[in-house]
Amino acid sequence: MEDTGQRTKQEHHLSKRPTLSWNSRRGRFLRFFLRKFRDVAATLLLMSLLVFLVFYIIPGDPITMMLGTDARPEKRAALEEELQLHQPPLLRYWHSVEGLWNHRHPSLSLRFQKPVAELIASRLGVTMTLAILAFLIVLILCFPLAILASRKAGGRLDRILSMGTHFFMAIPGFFLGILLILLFAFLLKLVRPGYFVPLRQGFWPYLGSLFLPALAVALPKLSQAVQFLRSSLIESKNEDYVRTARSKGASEARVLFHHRLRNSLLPLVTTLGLILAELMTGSLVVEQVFVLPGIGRLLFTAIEARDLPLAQGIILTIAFIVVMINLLCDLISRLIDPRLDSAAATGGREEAGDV
Amino acid sequence: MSEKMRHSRLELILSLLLLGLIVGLMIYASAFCPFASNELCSAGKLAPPSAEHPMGTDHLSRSILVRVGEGASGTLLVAFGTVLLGAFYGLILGALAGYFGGWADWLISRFTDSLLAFPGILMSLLVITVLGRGIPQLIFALGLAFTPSYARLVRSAFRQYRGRNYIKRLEVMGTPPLRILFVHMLPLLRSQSLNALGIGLANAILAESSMSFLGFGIQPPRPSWGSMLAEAQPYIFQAPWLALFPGLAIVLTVFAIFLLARSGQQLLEERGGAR
Repeated sequence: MEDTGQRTKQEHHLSKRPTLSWNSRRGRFLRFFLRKFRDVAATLLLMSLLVFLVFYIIPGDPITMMLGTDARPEKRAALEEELQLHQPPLLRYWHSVEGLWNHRHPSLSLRFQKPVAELIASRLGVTMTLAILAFLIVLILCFPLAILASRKAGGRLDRILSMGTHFFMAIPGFFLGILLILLFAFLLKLVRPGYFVPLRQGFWPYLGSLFLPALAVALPKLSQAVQFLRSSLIESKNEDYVRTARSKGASEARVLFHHRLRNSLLPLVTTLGLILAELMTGSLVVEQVFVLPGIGRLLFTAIEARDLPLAQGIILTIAFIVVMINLLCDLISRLIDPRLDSAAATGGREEAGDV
Repeated sequence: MSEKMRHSRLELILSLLLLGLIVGLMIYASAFCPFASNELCSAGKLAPPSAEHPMGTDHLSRSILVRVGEGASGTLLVAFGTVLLGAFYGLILGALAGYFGGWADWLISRFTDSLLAFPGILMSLLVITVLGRGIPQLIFALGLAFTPSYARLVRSAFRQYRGRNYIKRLEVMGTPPLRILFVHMLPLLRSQSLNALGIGLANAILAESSMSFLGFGIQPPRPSWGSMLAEAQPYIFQAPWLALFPGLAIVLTVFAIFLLARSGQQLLEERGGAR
């Protein structure tokens, strides 16, 4: 059934655009990619403009803030020159974005007097490792838990897991972090509080020291993933294709792994993408609890000190990463299900967005 | 009564009990308690829970019970304000985009997509950086961060409603579009709104406490659960109750609202199905 639907769509496609190469499988993927790329570029431009605008209209004079009210005029002028405050706004916007990767005229952090890019690069690794570790925890645990819960909908195990997931979703990451520190450092005395090993002292100790923070970031999001996958699996329990597979004599395990989980895959990719982005921002807050030298603490220091170039650089970096995660998700969804693209190409862009 | 319905009713009762506990604490702290939230008590600094101070005292020897109770009012104020503001903006944007379609839809969708791609907490931090700290600013910042998800929800619902026959009939009869939107289509959202608003409220409480924890939310001297947790951090090994009670207040409130939204939705569905 699915086959015929796809064929008619393809025919429709062909009649509209006779160029075959563009309509070959690879060509269509390329076009999809280009369209996504355009959307991403537009979003990034919009966001960077917005961030610049916000910092442009910010109240308070940065020079007075840095030098105090009784600074000498020549010193003020020198700093004004350095910060390029006299230049037109559009040029300042360009410098503020370009300075992130320009080595000769980098934008400098006001507080640390170092290039913003260097500061971000030295801190980004911890945050990224934390987010990826948390994502792995979610990925590994969500399948078995969801399968267990969906086995008997409304059964005792399902009810316990459902209560548990709701409870964990109600815990903010930073409080969970404090609880984990209390449990593992205070009651069980398994780790030292404020324990962090930098990467250069070995990869495994480094990962080990990030495990507790990752758990604090991951558990609330794990609950979200489990709830989502569980309801998706329960829905598919009585679908026609599942009954067909069973009547063909497929074992329950094969029905589950080969048919039902596959069908849940597409919406799951979208959900997991959102979760990865949220893990990234969740790490920012949890770093504060575990006193980790990540990008989140740098950001809060920057905002506190009104170090605008640094804050702007960090916010743009995080936004860029989140947008890239979204793009990756769209591409993976498209690879899993090529129909997404034909729906979009025949003029129904919104339908593709809603899937 | 079915098994499922009895469960939903139990969950409803549990959630109402928990919410009652929090609201009771709030009323007690603001009206009946002998101590003020910033009053220094004679029990001394970091005193463990006792009969006089059931949750102990903090590093400045203030009663934690009173501060948790007072913290509820600020948190709930910000959370309700955030959801109302976000739902209001989201309703207007989503209704216009979903009903009119065309370039309005394109423009609004690009706007909400960009906002959605921008993590909520960064958005709120940006707004707070510009507007300064304070409760009205916080409500505005969080409301803005909550807008796009509501806009998206309303948009897809209104796109569906637009195709219904009686809406088409109203259009043919010449009913003004705004009347169709807000008199005929708006009530249709009722079934979805309880869940969406409930989950929004729970998330708003979490967002508020994160912001306060980071120091960008509710400002001292007004107590807030998030900022109490931040203050408690240096003392967690000496006096764990400093962190435990405000944290529990957040978890129980959010949990109760999740349960309320879920069980309420199920009971409404059950009732609708029986009719």
